[in-house]
Order: sequence, then C-alpha cells, then structure tokens
Amino acid sequence: MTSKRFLPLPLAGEGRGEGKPLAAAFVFLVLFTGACGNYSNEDLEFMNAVPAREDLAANMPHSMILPANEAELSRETHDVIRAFNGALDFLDAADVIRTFQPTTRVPNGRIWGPWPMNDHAGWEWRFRMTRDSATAEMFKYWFEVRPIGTGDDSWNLFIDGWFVPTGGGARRGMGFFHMQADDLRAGGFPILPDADQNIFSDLKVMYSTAAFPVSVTMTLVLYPKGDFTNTATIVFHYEQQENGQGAMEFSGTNAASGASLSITSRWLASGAGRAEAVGQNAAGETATWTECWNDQFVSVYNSNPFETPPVTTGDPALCPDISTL
Amino acid sequence: MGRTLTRIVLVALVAVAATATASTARAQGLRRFAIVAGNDTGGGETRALLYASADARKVYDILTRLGGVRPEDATLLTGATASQLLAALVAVEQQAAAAKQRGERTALFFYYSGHAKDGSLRMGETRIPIDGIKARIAASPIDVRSAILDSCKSGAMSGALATRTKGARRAPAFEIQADGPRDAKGVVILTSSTSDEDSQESDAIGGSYFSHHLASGLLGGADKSGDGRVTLFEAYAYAYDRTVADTAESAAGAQHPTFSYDLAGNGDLVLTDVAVRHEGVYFPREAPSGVYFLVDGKGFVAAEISKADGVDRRVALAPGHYRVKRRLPDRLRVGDIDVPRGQMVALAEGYLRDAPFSDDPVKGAARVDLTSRWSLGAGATYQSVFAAPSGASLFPPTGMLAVDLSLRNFLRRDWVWSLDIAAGSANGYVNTVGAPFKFSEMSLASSLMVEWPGRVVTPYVGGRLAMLLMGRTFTDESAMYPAQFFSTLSPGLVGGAAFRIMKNTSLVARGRLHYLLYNIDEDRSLGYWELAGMVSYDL
Repeated sequence: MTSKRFLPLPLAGEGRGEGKPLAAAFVFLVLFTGACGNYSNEDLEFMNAVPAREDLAANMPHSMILPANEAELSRETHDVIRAFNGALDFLDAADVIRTFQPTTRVPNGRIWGPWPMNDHAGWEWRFRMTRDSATAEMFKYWFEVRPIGTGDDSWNLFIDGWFVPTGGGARRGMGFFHMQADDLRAGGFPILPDADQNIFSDLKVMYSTAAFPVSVTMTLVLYPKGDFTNTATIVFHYEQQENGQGAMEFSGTNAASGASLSITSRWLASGAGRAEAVGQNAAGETATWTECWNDQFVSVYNSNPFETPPVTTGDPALCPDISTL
Repeated sequence: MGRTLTRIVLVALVAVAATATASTARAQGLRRFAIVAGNDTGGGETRALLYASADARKVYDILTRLGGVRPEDATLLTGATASQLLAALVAVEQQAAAAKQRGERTALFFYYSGHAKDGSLRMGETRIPIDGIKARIAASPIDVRSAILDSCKSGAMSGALATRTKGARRAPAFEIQADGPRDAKGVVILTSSTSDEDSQESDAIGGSYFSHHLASGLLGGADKSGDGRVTLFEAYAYAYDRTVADTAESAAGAQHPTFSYDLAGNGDLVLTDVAVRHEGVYFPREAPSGVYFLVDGKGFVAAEISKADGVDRRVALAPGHYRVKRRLPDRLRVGDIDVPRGQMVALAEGYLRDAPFSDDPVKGAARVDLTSRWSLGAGATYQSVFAAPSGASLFPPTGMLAVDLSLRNFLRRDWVWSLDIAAGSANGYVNTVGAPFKFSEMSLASSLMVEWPGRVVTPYVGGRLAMLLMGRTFTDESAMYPAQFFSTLSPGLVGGAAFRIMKNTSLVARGRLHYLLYNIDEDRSLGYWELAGMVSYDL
C-alpha cells in the first residue's frame, strides 16, 4: 500500500495546516488511524494518458485464418500489419502503469517505480508523468532505465511522450511518443536484434484516438542486418473507422540504395480490400501494382507490372469501394 | 414505576426553633450550616442511580431558600468522594466553632444521597464506613445535628444511636412540644428505609420516593399545623405516610422511613419557613381535598401535596410556570398557574379543567422503564457528499441498508450509546476520463447521543465516529483501471427523532452531518450528509 507519509517528496497541500494545531492534530489522527487507500480520480487521469497497445494496433477483420491462395498484396498487408503491431509490443508493458497505483504522488505528477526489469537483469525502470495544467491539460511522460544501484544521474531516457485528452472515453485524445535506443545501447543497455537481425534504432509514433477514424503514424528506423553504417526508415500510417474499415500505408526506404516501396491498403469490415504498391528503383523509375481481394482474401483483380511479363487477371469492377479512407 | 436502588440520604439538620412563635429562618442567634451531597455512582457492583444528585440539588435549594441557611454556609457536593465529604464536614465544624466563640448557637443540616453497601457509603469509587460518619456526627461540637440517610437498609444508621436510644422509634408518633427550644442539643437522624429494606426511586416523580416526599413536605405540604413552618417531625410524618403509601404496591415492597434522635432539652425542630419568602401556591381551605401535583416546565413533579378537607396549605414554590394536577378516580383535573416572584398565588378550583388520563402533564409518568435497555434498528439511509460534482465523481450518492444496536441509560440517564453498520452501493462516473464505475461502501460507527424521551416523540442529538470503507471497480474493462479503495475515520453529528408507534416499536427519522478527510490526491476536507428512515425495536 502506498502512503504519502512515507514519500520523500512534497505532499499536496503541505504546510496549509500552519496556525491550526487542532485541525492539524485531527488530520494527523485521521491519517494515522484510518485514512489510506488508492482512491484517486487524478490517478485515473494520469493512467488515461498512457497509450495502450490495443488502441493503436492495426486490425484487419477476419484475419485469423487465411487461405493458401491469399492475394499477394493482402499477404503483404498482413505482413505489414504484423510488423506495425510488433513495433507496438512494448506497449504491453504500459499496462503495468494502468494496473498498479503509482508509487509516488506529487502535485501534478506521478511516479511508478523504480522497479527491476524482469527481462534485463541488473537494470531497473521508472515511469514519470507530469501534467501541465497551463497547456490544455497536456500530460508528459518519461520511461527511464538505469543499472540497479546507481544514482539519480544515471537514469537513461528510453521513451518520452505526451498526451492531450479530449474526453469521450478511455484514452481518447492525441498523443505522441518517441522511443530511442542509441544512447541506451551506448550506455550498456542490451538491445537484441530481431529475427531478421535488424537492430532497433528509433521509433516515433503520433496518434489520435479523439474520434474516428483513429489514426496512427509510426516512423521506425532500423539498422538492417545489424549494419550500424546503414539505416532503414519505415513509415506506417494506419487509420481505422468505427465500423471496422481500415487503411494502412507503408513506405520504406533503403538509405544505402535509395530504393523505396510504398504500399497503400484499404479494407472493409468484411475483410475485402484493395492495395496499391508503388515501387521506385535507384534510377527513379516507378511502377504501380494494384490488387483487390474478396472477404476470403482471394484475389479478384490483379494488375502487376513488376512481373515479367506484366500480369493482369480478374475484373477491376469486383474491387470494393473504399472511398471513406 | 419505582425501582429498587441503593441510596443513602444523610441529612443532618439542626433546626432548633428560637422560640415557639418565631420562624426558624428568623431565629435569633442560631447559625445554620448545611452539607448536602448526592452521588449517582457507587463504584463496582452497583448500578448508577438516576436521581441522587438531583435530589441533593433539590434539598440544597430548599434549605438555602426556605431553611434559613445562608448560601455561604451551605455546601453542595455532587459526585464527591468520601474525602471531599469529610473535608466539607471538617470545614463546617471549624465555621461552627468560630460562630460559637461569637456566642451563636449552631446547627448542622447534613444530607447525603447515594449508594450504601456492606456497611459503607459508596461515593463513586470511594467508601466511608457508616459507623465512621455516625461517630463523626455524634462527636461534632455543633449544638444540634440532623441527618437524613436515604438508601437501601439505611435504617442501620438509626441503629447507630442505639448507644443512646432515646427517642429512637420507627413510627411517626411524636409528642415533642415546642417549649424551651433554646436549650435543645443533640442528634436527630432520619433514614429512608429500615435496616432490611430497599429504598426506591421513581421515574414518574423524578426522584427517590422518600426525598421527593420530604421535599414536598418541606415546601409546605407537611405543615400540618398550618402555621407556615415545617418542623422536622412534620416533615418526617409527611414523608413517612407518603413514602409508605407509594411503595406499598411496588415490586420491591413497602419502604418505611425511620426516625431517631438523641436530644437534650425540649423543642421542635423547624426546618423550613414557608411564609418567609411569601411566594408559591396557596391552597385555600375550601379547595377540594386530594393529592395535588405541581409539575414544572420539564414535566417533573416539583411538589406533591396531600391536602385534607378544611385545611389550607402553602407551598413555597420558586417563581415559574406550573401545571397543577389532581387525580380523580375517572379523570384528571388539570390547570396552569404562574407563580410570580414574591407572590403567593391562590389556587381556585376554577383554574382546573377535566382532562383524560392520557393528558397527564407528568411526563415522567410516561417513562415506563428507565433501566438500561437495548434496542435494535434496521432501515435505509441515503448519503451524499457536499462537494458535488467533483465530490460525487469520487463518492457518488449512495443508498445503504443499515442496522444499529443501541444501549440506553447505561452510561447516564437518557444517554444512548449506539453501534451501527451500513452497506450500500451506487454507480458513478469519472467525467474527466469517461470512466463508469461501481461504488460500494461499508461504514462501522459508534455514536453517543442524548435523547429527550417523550410520550410519542423522542428527539435526540449526539456525536458519531465512523470508519468508512469505500471501494470502486471500473466497469469499462478496456480502461484497465485497477480497483480502488479508501478508508478513513469520519467524525460527525447526528440528530433525529423516534416516533413510538407501538409499545416497543418506533419509527426513526435521522440526519447526519459528517466530516470526511480525503487525502489521496490532495488533502481535501469534504463533508457529507445522510438521511435515514428506520424501524427500532426495544429488546
């Protein structure tokens, strides 16, 4: 149980009892005989400002079982969604913030931790939040890590962000967070490569959950194949309507070659959708590949100029109309 | 009505009339002292009395108003210890010695009301042997000493004079004449009961039977001679008759006051001069005979006068408003009378009107049972914080079911100690984050209240200290907020009224105002009000 009397930080309203010894004595009595708990509306407001993976993750309906003959750009879209959502996996840890009461309460501020990191032995983390009441209720937060046993100046910033609630429900508002790994890595914090041996460098996420469509723009920077002399920047933009319609724009650039690929996919709540993939080679030549699929994710129209020879199958009239995104 | 009690009234009154014709209060050369003490508590193995201190105050008032005792010579002790009582006696003896040196004759009126058990007066947690106080009074250098002891088995006190049993008797047959009173010296002791009887209190009259009738007699009811002065023997005879009559049918059995004296010289002992202040109520000779009750503004009997045919009576009541009641076999005769300061108001039968027994102005008569008793209540409450809407988003208005257990007349008369528990729930909404929640609350509390029992309505007020246990869970699972709880002590005030609808059943309407310290986000002083409707049953 958290109790403010053990906190090393100033308490809300501290000093207001001066000159009122009886009142202070009574408050003292109540504090020490009964008043305790985690009953706080302000805690909820701070918790509400922390992004949740389920709010930002992309979701294409009916994607649990996919056919073997799935349309190729549908498959690409699913791959992109998996990559997009994978980049948000770390937000599962943010659920801790919403599940547990803060360790420390200060006026317009809350702190969770420091607590040891289960998956990084010898390191601990803390999560600080402040509320700037002067700027439209903007909440700012910092996720920091440090080696256990080191001092306050050893905290390394891992994630920082902000959120402005707009009301209307849990976590409704606009937010941004920035996850940066280079300084952490330099400080000795272990960051392992992914399955493709890419190493994470930087992630910026701007999102709006204030109203539908929900939008999330993610910029992910990786060191491809662990090559710290090269970076790959991937930009995702995802939107989702309340009725399940969604859209995902994906673009990637290889800094070394200058080649880029952009895929824009849209789908209905039934799962039927269409995608355009625009490729540009190092010489600046571009081509657009269009494919549509039905609610079984089977291609109903395909126009692929990247094939040799180019391939066109199906009927473009079977492509769904997804003009709202 | 009356209850067995352990009570001691020790009256030491020395009232030697200066002359047969001169009133006591106007006696020349007689310095009167009084020690009047009452103690409701008697320590372990005794239950608190209800009227011992009140009786002492009543006697003190009569002695200083009508008994010729100057206020500076009168000592009133309520709730005093044995040592304080002895100290007061020593101080009076010193004052009396100084008066005697100045050539004054001295008299002491010593009254004590309280517990007695196992041969000792019980004064709170302290004791004083009856033999000791007897010996002290017997050895006192004061010329005339009178004592009244009102307690269970107080007749043992009379036995203390057995070494000199002159005059010791149990019946009110006195033949002392008022000749040569200037020479009177010695000790007179009255007790409220014999050595094997209990003394009893009455809730209807708001005092002990004996002291009540003694006081009524001193106010004038006992002035059998009609000369405006009440002698010791007149007072005793009156108190004896009325006490025996009132207690004859009681569960504890009849109570017989005793009288004993060891006096040298002749003389009647005049205790009060009813005419000295010439204010009160005058019952003319032609007024119907019977027992008249003079009821004060609080509904208690200030005097109970037994009037015979063809005689008049003066009752020296303090100025004020009184209701007069005379009981007939089939009805009451009731009227109102005001006693102005310095005036004796004659009571004409025309002042009285017929009234049913249900309109008995003696409210004390409605107090069927003032013994400690339990009552159990159940009902519903509604609670709301004052600081809405911000407060409501924390603690929404909540309906609760409540049960309380109350103990009456245990700590003190008309004090109620109560334990209550209540639980309830409500739906709330945190606007700032759009979070609906389910609120639940349980309160455990103790209250201490004072009530004013009435025939139908009993209002009460008091203080309450509650332990509040509150919690909430958020119904929007996607919000993932943890369950929250809060507990605190909350002091408050409580007031209400009980409306008796059946013998043991009352409907209770109650309100509470509470302070609530909320200290999680910040220190906030919140308050909440609560209204409740309950049914209470006397166990």
